[in-house]
Amino acid sequence: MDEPLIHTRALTRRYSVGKAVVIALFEVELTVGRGEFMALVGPSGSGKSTLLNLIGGLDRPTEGEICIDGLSLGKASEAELVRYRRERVGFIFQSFNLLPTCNAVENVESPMMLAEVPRPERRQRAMNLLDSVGLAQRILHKPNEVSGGEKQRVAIARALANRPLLLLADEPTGNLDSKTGAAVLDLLCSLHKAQGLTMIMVTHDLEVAARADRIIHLRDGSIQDIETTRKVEAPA
Amino acid sequence: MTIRDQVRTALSNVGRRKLRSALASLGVVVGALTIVIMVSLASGVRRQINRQFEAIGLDRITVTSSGGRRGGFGPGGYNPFAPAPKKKLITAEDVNRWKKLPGVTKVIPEVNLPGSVGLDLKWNGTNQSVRLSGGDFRPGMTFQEPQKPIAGSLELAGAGGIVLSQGAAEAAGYSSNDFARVIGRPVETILRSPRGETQSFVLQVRGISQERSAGIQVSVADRIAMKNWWFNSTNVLEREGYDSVTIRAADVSHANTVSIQLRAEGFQVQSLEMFVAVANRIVTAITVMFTLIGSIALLVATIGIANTMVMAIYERTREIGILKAMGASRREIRQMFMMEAGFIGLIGGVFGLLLGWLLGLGLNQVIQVYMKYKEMPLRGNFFVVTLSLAVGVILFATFTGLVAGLLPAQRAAKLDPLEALRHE
Repeated sequence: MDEPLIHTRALTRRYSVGKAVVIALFEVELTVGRGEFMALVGPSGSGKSTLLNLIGGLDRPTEGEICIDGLSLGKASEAELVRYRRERVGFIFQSFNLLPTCNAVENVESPMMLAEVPRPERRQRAMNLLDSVGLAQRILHKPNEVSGGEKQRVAIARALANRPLLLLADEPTGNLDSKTGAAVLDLLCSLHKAQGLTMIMVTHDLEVAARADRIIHLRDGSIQDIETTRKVEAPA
Repeated sequence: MTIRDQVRTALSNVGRRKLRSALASLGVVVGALTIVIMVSLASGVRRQINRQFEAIGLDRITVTSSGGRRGGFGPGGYNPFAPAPKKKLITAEDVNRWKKLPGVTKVIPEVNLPGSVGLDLKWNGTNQSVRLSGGDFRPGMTFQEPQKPIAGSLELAGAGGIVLSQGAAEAAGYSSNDFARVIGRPVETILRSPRGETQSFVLQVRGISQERSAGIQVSVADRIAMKNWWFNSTNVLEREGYDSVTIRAADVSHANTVSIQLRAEGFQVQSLEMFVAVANRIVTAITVMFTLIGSIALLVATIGIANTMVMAIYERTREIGILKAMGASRREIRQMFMMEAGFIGLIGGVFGLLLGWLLGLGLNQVIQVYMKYKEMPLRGNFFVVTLSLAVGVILFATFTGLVAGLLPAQRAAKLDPLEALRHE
């Protein structure tokens, strides 16, 4: 395997809550290869979401370094971070976070609008993406007109809009019933396989985590254990 | 994000809360409406003033011999017995000299007969008392249009001609059908002194004027002759000079130069451009005042817009977080909200302009009807929306919106994406 996609060194994130200082993440050393599917598990407050947000460029480390595809996110300028979020990362949230006033296709188009993709191309790609997540019949529906599973599919299509390197999912099945959750998870796994995306998923469902190549167990802001579920060398 | 997409997004965001956007822009509507009405009234009134002055002739100046009347304001206040100031005569040489001044197109000297002269018109077997009005034309300070002849011409070049009023001709037994026939025919005018002496002047009819009262007009040469008879003299002009001279210049700026020069020479000069300037200055002052009131209304409207934007940002905090997570920059978020605020201002400005314009049109009609009813010789519009006013109001309203959006948009741009995403 060549140079890893994500590399962290002594990654630490502290928050000050009033006078108290909370250490959300402490000296995390982590390497994620390209095309890898990794699950972050741990009890709430273990720092898994903090780690995901740091990887997603939504937050900056207090200390240490996080380097993704050659870009050091801690040292990057605001503009570089904006471009990084726009072009290399796709985010999937537990609560979907769709734009409530936009319909499905507009939601999928929105990251491409930010990336200044021309309108006809944008529309075409959004339709294709919605088709690939099985929502070809739902393109003009607004978020409040579709089910939870469909919302998450729209969100997945949106996350893929700008052809990111990295797909970050924060409890993507957390708000879904087990059947719908399983379907969404199947979709994510098949996308990961088909497109060779690197995928990091936060979950506390070990059954869900078991689908990943590796499982990182976090506790109190530190990596407790790294569990390899199958041969990591496998991708040829 | 391209500008086009930003505009589209901002418009759809304004459109999705129609009532709130409308209420926010209502303040702008009121402000813009006030400005439009005030400024259009001012420019309409200014046009009216200029038109009225133009009808009289802005290019004309009237020179009168200075002083000549007993009584006046002195160092001790008004003194009715103060000696008459020394007269500065307007001589025939002056008139000839003025004719050669650059930019002067016409010099019309005037001689007035004393008020006690009685004047009879013997015409067509009738005898009527008539009034002698000024020669060729008089640039009085009245809001009267220049007269037009009913028959013949009103020009009185050279001695021996007379223009009679319609009233005088009718009193002499002529109907309007006869007017053309009497042109070129002689009439006798008789001057009467209070002591009963009379002198007859036979003059040739040159034209019939529109005037209803019985009156005649004779040339300045004939008036000098009449005045000579009155004072039993042969050189009234040399002794008293012309009473007034009307100078017609090629344009207003030449009229201005000439009046400055003649004033420096000690003549009393009346020119209309001063009146126009003063009138315009007053109108401008009033306009500025009312525009300020309108502007205050607009400024108050910014508070409404700012409040709307703050509320919108509060409601859409999560949306801002989503956009940021997807890679929207601070600048894009700021511009998006600035544009929304700008659009609210723009919409208010457009509606304010439209309402102000319509209100002006309505008021113009009302004023026209009233003027007709009152038989006032004022025509034309009192509310005039010029292109620069329209453009200016819309720009100002948009600018107001942008200013109102500045701080809220800055706040939105600064939101931390994670906190924004956690917002419920």
